[in-house]
Amino acid sequence: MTAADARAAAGVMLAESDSLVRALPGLLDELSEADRQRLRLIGRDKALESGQFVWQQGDGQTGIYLIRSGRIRSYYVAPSGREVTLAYWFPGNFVGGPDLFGTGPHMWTSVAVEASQLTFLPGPALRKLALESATIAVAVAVSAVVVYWRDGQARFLEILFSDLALFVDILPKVLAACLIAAFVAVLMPRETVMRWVGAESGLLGIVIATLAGTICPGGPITIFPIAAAFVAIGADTGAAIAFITSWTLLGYARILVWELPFFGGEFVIWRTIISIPLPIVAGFLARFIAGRLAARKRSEGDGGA
Amino acid sequence: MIYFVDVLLWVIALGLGLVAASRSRALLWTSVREGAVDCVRLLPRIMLGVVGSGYIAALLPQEVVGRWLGADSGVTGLCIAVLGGAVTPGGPVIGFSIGAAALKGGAGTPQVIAYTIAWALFAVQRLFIWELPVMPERLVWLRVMASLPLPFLAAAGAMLLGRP
Repeated sequence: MTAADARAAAGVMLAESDSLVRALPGLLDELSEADRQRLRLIGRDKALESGQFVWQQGDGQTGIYLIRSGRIRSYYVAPSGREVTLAYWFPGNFVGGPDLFGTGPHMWTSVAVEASQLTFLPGPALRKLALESATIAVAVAVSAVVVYWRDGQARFLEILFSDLALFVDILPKVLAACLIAAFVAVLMPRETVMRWVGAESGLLGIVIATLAGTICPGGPITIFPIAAAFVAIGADTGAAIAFITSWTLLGYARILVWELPFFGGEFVIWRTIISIPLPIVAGFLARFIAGRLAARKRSEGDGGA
Repeated sequence: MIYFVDVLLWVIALGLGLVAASRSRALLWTSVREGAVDCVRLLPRIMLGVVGSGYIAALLPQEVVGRWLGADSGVTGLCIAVLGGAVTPGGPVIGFSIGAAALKGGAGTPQVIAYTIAWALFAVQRLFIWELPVMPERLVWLRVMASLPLPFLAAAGAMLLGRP
């Protein structure tokens, strides 16, 4: 989300003008920059014209919408057809709250009453963000208790100290990796990488896409929209898939920050070397499969005509 | 040799830092602060994974892991590893913790490589939560199909090289 609109004032209830409501803090204002970044990574921007629906009564719930600018009206359509306005929502507010917890049909309609910009946060991704660390924490706690109970205190402490030593050993690596990630993110903006992916076709295109995937900064969810955008504007499918595969297998941030601490230098170096050709293989294979599918579609089309 | 990776990482970090500094001082300091904050934020999770995987590994029955995923488990072991990778839920902490635990618990390195690569490429949960909502369906399935041989290719590469 870009810097909250200058009219950071957030109003709820039935006031039709922002000037009538007391300023409220935005939903994200209290978060640390890091956490805001995590939310931004799963967010998708959406621009609505005046009169466009965010969703309609009876639509399935999919996630919440943060309002960055504009104004959204939520209303209930009574069986008689009368519209009952529930609230106006302003920048800093969000709409679609119940989706966070359950799924089901929306109970009311939300519509933009002026040109508005929203950030959509998909419900499942939000829930996953909240639960991610909890699952493994529970597994570790249970395992530690079982080891203590089954093998005794000595074994428990032995594992603890040897793994703590490993952890202390990797600390400088993690710090260096985070610094590298931060520097690359400012020196190599995502837009630069985007230009590369769509650059060429043929072998060169796939190799360039592979390189771009290796150095593209950002979390998991930034990659897929970039690839989708490229295919949408007509870039080569093979290159887009080489780009995704390369980011998954050779992305520097993932290797440095995650894999290195867990597996150690030798494993990671060889795993990486072995993986270097894989995105290129995937790119060519994708191109081949896409070609075959297109050919079959064509011949089916001819047969039907 | 032990400190090779450390030295390499810090040389790269310093080099990039110099480039950033040559653009502007402010750029250097904001990036340093961002990197440090990221590191602090990650530490609890990495600690959980690194220290925790030792306990999870201690619970894994070594003979079973060795038989099904050990260096001699062959193609069956690879297939199990690939399937396991695909159904592993959650983010990096979970996948890497399980991989590290398997390695500590007696699994063969080609199998663990196949596991991590399969998990990175196919994680079913991520496929449905992240990819399908964002990308055209055709592109997602094309990617999955094109990626099917990759974990096996990587494991074959590891076996051929005899490393790590």
